[in-house]
Amino acid sequence: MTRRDDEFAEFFSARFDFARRIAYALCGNWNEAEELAQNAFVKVYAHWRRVRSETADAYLRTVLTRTFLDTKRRGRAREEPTESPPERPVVQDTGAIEDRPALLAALQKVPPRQRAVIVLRFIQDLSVEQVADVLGCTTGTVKSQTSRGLQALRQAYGPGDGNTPALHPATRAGC
Amino acid sequence: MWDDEQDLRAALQRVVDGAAPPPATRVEEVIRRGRRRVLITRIGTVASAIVAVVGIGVGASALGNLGLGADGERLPPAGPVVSTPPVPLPESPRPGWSVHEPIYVSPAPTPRYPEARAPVCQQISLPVASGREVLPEEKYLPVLLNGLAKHYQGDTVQVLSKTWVNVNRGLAEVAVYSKDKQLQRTFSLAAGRYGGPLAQAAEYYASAVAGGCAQKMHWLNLPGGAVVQASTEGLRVFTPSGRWYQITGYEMSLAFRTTLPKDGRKADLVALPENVIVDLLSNLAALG
Repeated sequence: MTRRDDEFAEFFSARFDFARRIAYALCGNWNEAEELAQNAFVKVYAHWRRVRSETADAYLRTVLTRTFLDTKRRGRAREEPTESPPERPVVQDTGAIEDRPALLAALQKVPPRQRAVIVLRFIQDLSVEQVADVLGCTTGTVKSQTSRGLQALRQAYGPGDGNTPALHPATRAGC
Repeated sequence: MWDDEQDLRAALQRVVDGAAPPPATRVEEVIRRGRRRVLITRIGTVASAIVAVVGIGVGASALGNLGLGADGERLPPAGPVVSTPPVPLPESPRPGWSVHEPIYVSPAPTPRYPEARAPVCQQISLPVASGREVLPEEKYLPVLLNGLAKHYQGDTVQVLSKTWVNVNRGLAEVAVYSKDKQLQRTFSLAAGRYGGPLAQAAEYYASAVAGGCAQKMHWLNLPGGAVVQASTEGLRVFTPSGRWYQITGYEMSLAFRTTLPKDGRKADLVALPENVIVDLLSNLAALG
């Protein structure tokens, strides 16, 4: 193994699990999240000589997101409705004790690009400018996509009373 | 529903922070696929380059004097792109060295993709780097240069490159030219830091050059608890404080630059003297 591989292996061991979890938020499926993260790391490896240590995280983030969107665009995997919606308890305040499967399923109902924006902004805590950089679009687009994405997420997750899930049928989304 | 964006952020982050199945992807598999991707890209690039080169060659031939200098003599070839020749690991340890068998091994995982032909063997994990931060190059580079000046008195020592990447990595390359300018020795230094016990880190780095499989290595114990490790990749010293230094390189004759070999052979690369590298590493390890 060369020094390049050595450094890459170090980066891989430190970041793969995080990338896989982000992919899981995008895909809603651990197997496909693993595949997506793996593909992203393969692409990062191919450009490892040009990727500086300081920018490796940002590069990985960009590659992961764009790989997800590319796969969606190609239509390799379609969202498939499942027979039964995820079970979800009645809750009073979903902000604190929301049902994770239902929230994940709702996230998968959000269109891919808006979903990517939500994941980047709210899970990865990126600024509007950083998200625009990752997606290669303007900050105005990020803001509008965020707004639409949140609207779609709220609609998919349930009506305002927080009691009734609006996920019929639920989706098993794939990357 | 969520009262504000902060609630939503927390809710979404809990989605990904939950329990997850263990990762099934191994870095060796990713590197293998990455190399294949690089190869495919290069093939495409080379195909494009061939077309361009043929065009340029035809144009240059038409102008004549292709490959000739102003005085009509053939120009010397450009310096070769070389890689460090691996240092072979002898079966029996050198005098004063000992054989170290890996102890931080974990059982071989069940292959998820049998067709991937990834090596199934005992592995060694490396904890997150937590040792002392890599020293600034102003600290370690003079040690390297002084050591080289001592070993190659009268020769010219020149820093080819120096890059302090971050607290985890520092790189430098130094050339030593003989007095008659017929010999070049290139020393590549990498500085880094590790996490966990010294032995575990040493075992991990030795396994890294063997496709992730644990392997035996030769050790030389230095005063102060540092250990020089010899593996097929070369020599690396680990300090008890959590730092490591590796020096690789080669020795090359520069005679080919002035006389063009008729048989097209390339410059011969010779491994650097081991005692010199060990001495340089010992000096670096003494920095703590």
